Amino acid sequence: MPRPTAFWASALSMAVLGTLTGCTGPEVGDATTLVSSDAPVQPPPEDYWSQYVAVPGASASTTFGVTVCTQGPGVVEITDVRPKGTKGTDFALVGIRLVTFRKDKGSTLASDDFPPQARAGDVAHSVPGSTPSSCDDLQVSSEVQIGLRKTGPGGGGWAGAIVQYTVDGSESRSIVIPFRMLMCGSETERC
Amino acid sequence: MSAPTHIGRSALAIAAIAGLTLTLAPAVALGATAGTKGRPTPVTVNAAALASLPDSVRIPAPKILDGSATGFADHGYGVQVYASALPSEETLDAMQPGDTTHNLPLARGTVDARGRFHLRAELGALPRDYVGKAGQVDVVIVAWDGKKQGEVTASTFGSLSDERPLPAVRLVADETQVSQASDSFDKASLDCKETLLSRNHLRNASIGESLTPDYSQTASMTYKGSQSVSLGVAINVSNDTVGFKSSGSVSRTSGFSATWSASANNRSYLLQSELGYYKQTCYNAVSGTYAYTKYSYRAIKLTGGYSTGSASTFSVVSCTSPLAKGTWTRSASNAKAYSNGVGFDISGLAGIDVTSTSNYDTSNALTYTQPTANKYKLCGNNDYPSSAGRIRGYLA
Repeated sequence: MPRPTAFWASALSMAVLGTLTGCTGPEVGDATTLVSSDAPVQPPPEDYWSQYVAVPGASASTTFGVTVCTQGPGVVEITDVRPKGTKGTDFALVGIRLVTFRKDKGSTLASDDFPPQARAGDVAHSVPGSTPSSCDDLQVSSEVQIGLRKTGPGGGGWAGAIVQYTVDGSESRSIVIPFRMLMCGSETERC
Repeated sequence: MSAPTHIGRSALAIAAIAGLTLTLAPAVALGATAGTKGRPTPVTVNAAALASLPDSVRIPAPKILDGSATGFADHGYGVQVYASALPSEETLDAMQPGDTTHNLPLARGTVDARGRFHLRAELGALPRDYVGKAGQVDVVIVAWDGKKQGEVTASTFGSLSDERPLPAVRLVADETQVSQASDSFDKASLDCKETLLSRNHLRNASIGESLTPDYSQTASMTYKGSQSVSLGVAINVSNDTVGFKSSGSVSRTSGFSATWSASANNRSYLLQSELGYYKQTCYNAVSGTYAYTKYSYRAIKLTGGYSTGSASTFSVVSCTSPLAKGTWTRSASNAKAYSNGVGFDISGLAGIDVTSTSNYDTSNALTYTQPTANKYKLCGNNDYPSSAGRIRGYLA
C-alpha cells in the first residue's frame, strides 16, 4: 500500500495533469477494489464454474465460504450479497455474514451447519455494512459466509453469487463469484 | 542421377498416355479404394499421377503453401520440394501392424535462389481417407537436393487454397533424415508406401494430479478438448527410447475427452499421444527403381491415462477448514477469457503442445469427494484451493 504522502502527491499530480489536459483525474476510490480468489478478473463461462455439492448433516444446513479482501487505499463496505442464479427449489437461505479469520486456521469452503464451528480468532460482522480485511494482511483474511438449508428431497442452492460494495461511499460496484453452492438432491446431484 | 529434363519428359509422356492434364485432380487421377466392414483399405496411388505433378511455377492454380529451405545445395538440378497428404487420423487409427498406405501427392515445386518456394495445386475434393472427421488435412512437405533431405509436417482445416493455405513452413536440410538414399531419382516422381510396423507407443503429458490422505477421500478428473491439439512428428529415430526429434506437427484431434473414475490412489492424470512406428519405402514412379527407406513415429490419436507412481508430493501454504460431506469440483478452462489452470503442465513436453493450438474449449475439472463431514480438508500449494496451482487432500 502506498504511503499517504506518496499517494496524495500522486493524486495531486494526476489532478494537475487532468486540469492541463482538460480531463478529470481518477477518483481516490478508483484504485481500490474488492478482490476474491474465487473470482477471476474475467469470469469464466458457466460450464467452467467450480462447485461444492454438500450432503448436509442433522441441522440440514451448510455454510459455504468465499474469500474476499480489499486491494487499495480506499475503504470497502459490502452492501449486499445475493445469488447470481439458483438451481433447484428445495433450499432456503439461513444467513449471510462476513467473517474475519486467522489464515492459519483455514478458509471455509463448505462446512457443516450455519454458523459453522468457530475457528480460534474468528470475528463475525453483519452484512450489509461490513469491511473486509486488506489483501496485504499476512495474518488475517476475510470470507463471506452463506448459509443454506436443505428443505426437501430436491435440494438446490445458489448458482454463483454477486457481492455488491462501495468504496469510500462511492457508487455501488459488484463482483461475480463463479462458484455453485448446492445441497445434494434430485434437483442437483444425487446424495 | 537422372536429369530433371529427362524425368520431366517422361512425366509428360505418361501424363499424356494416362490422359491427365498438368493440373492434378485427385478424385480422377487417384485410385482411392473404399473401405470394407468399417476398416478402410489403404489408398492405392496411380503411379502415373505422381509423375504428372506439374511444377508449381508453371500453373496458375491456387497457392497452397509458402516456405523457405535452408542448408541445401544445388547439385545441378535444383532443390525439389514436394507436398503430399498423409492418411487421416481415422484411417491411421484403423490400421494394424503390417498394413500399408500411401501418401497422396499434392504439389511440387523448386526452391528459388533466395531459398523460397511456393507450391500451387488445383485440388478437387480429396479422397475421404485423407480428410479427418473435423476436416483436417495433414500434409508432409519434403525438400531434396539429391544429397540431403528436409521434411516438415503441417495440418490445415478446410480446403487448401489461396485464401486458406497451409501455414508457412521452414525446411532444413538434414543428412540423417534419409537412411538409405539413391542419388538417381527425381523427387517429383517418387512413389512412397508406408507400412505400420507397430503402434501403442505412448507419449505422456501430465494434466493434473490428485493426492488424498487415506482410502476414504477420493478424487477424479475430467478432460475435454473440442479443439485440435498439435502433436509432433518424429523423424528417423530407431526406437522410442531415444530423444524425440520433432519435425513439424500434425493436428489431433476433434473432440477428445476423458473421464477418470474416482480413486483414493495418488494419481497423475495423463494426456497421451499414441504414436505409430512407420516404415516408408520410396521408389521412382517412372522407372520403378528403389529410392530410399525411412522410419518415423507419427501421432495416431490422443488418449488418456494415469500414473500412480509419478504423482509427487508437494508442500502447501493455504488450506480450508474441515469440510462438509460432499463433493468439490474445480473447473478450469484455457479459454482466453479465463486462464486458471488446475495443474496444467503440458507445453514443455516434447511431442505434445496443447497450449499452442487449443484455442478455446479445452477444459479440465478436478473433483474431491469427502465421504464424511469434518474429517478432511483441501490445501493448495500457492493459494487457497479455489485458485491454487496444485491441490491435495489432508486429514483435518
